[in-house]
Amino acid sequence: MKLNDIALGLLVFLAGLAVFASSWGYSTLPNQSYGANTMPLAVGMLGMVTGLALGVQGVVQRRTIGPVPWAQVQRWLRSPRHVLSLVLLMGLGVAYILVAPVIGFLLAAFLVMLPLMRLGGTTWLNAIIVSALTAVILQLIFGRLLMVPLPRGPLSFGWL
Amino acid sequence: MQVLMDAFGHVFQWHVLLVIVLAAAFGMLVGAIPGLTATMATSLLVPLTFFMDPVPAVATIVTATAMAIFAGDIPGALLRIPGTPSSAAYVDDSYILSRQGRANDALGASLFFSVLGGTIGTIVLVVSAPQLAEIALNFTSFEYFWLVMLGLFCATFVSPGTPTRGLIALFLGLGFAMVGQTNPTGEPRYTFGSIELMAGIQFIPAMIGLFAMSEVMRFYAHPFQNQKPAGVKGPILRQQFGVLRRYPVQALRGSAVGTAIGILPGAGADIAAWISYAVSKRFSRKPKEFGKGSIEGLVEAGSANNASVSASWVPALVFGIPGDSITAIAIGVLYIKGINPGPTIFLTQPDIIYAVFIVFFLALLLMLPLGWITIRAAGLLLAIPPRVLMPIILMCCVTGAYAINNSAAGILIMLCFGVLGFIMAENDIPVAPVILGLVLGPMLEENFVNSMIKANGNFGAFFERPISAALGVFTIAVLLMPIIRLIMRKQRIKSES
Repeated sequence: MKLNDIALGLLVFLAGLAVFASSWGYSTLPNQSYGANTMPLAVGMLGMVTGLALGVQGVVQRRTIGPVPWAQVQRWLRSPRHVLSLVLLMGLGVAYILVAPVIGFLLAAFLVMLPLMRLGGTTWLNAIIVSALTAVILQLIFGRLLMVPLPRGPLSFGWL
Repeated sequence: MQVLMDAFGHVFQWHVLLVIVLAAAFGMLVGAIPGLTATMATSLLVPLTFFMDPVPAVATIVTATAMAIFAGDIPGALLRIPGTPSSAAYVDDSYILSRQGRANDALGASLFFSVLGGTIGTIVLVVSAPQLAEIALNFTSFEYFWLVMLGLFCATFVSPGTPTRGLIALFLGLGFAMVGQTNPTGEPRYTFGSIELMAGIQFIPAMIGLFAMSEVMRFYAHPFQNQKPAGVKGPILRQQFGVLRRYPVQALRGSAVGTAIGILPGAGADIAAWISYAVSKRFSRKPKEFGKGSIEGLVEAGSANNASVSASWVPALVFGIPGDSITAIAIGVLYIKGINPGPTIFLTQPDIIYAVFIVFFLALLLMLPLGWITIRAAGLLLAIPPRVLMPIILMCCVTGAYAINNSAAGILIMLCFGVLGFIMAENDIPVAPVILGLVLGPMLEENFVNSMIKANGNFGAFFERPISAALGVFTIAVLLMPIIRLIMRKQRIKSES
């Protein structure tokens, strides 16, 4: 979704304001006017000024070119298939975090890649072969070669 | 001399050489595949470098980047899809040449002049970095403050999109840099009670999310299918000496402009290519041929983007301020390895620096044969369907983000930054300033607070030392540039009407 300049400017201004306001919660160095609060103060101001500048740009654009919708809905957002693809992609990422400690890296990686390959239209056979091979190669590179303690599961035996 | 021998000793070990060859092949592969950028190649490699010694770690990044920037020209010439943004400036020329059956001429020129530009950029790096480091040894927090500001604003104002959108990215980057306990008083800031966030936002998962995960998301939102290109026929390199004899000025000017832009903190290969292409057109005797199959533009811009890759390491190594998003990543890696880039590194670890220089030359030497093979195998490479590639990249992102701290928090950060990168791209907000803000934010804070304490709160002290004053004036000029340009444009419109 693409916001217009006024909406985006407002959002950035509010974020800047929040950062600016939060700076009061942080202290300074003893006997100094500077400390943990300095950066939030400056960054908050940067956000507010940027948001304001973008908002003004949006207002000027509105006057010269005409009204621009607050938010432009891109084509993919109107296609349930594409929205579902993105939801599935993120869902699989989160699912990996949850299930990998239980079923192990090999199986979890395979189960994350397989539906995504199928979603793109890869044949079952190719999807299974490529997903399995990738999972094994990643396990060998990270798990064996670099000694990263990837989650182990029922398939973790021998050199895997 | 002993330092140089040590440097050769660091590089000429079988495992370092193997790492260089593998990184080169990986860089070629990623650069040649449309949709995968040089920055993505670097970010996917960083988790691996985490487990290496400093020299092979930096060698991996240097080699992969140089290769990816060249290889980006291959899908540009054969499919009119630039493999990396730095190939976009002359994509029309190389594509038209390919359609005329001269793909070998176009890609040969890209390869030959990439090596030439890269060599000139590297020579400038080798010669100027130690000299600059000697000057930089006298720098105090005042000079560093302005250098960081200059890097941040250059990156913001020269990135694609409007300056205000660049500033939004900078705001986000600096905002994320504030998270954690690394601040003057050491109190937890924006951690929301999370222990994971105490040390700040993990840089590598954030970067993998911004550059690689967002690309995977973009594919599922806007899927595309690679077309099958024809293979490249005819000699590739033989005729390039003739091209060099015809366009020596262009090759040198492209390399010089690329080097100068690379040295500027915050500007990288993409900008170097665009500016060089425009300069070439401006001084050409045949400007009308540009965009219609001009070898001249290709020579100049092709030299420029690779020259800037080497030159962008000058500010990175000398001041610790990245020249572009790739060196920002490299600096992050150096810090993780316990090497603090800056002028003192030339005194404390000169062997490491010279080893990096040797790696640059080795990478360029490798580029010729590997580039030749990649051009010949382009038909096969470009046929790899993205629908198979993207799930593999997702898994590489997940494993890489986990491997940094062996914690699922890294994966979560990577996913969040992936969504952020995706939303930013949808709203035409550049991503590079976020990563520069994240890397330079702590440095900015430290140098500003230290300077203000030293100066007793007098901001005028930032203009009291000559170099600091010059850097300050230059930074303010860069900051005011968009406003000056806007006023000039308005006056032009007024006078025309």
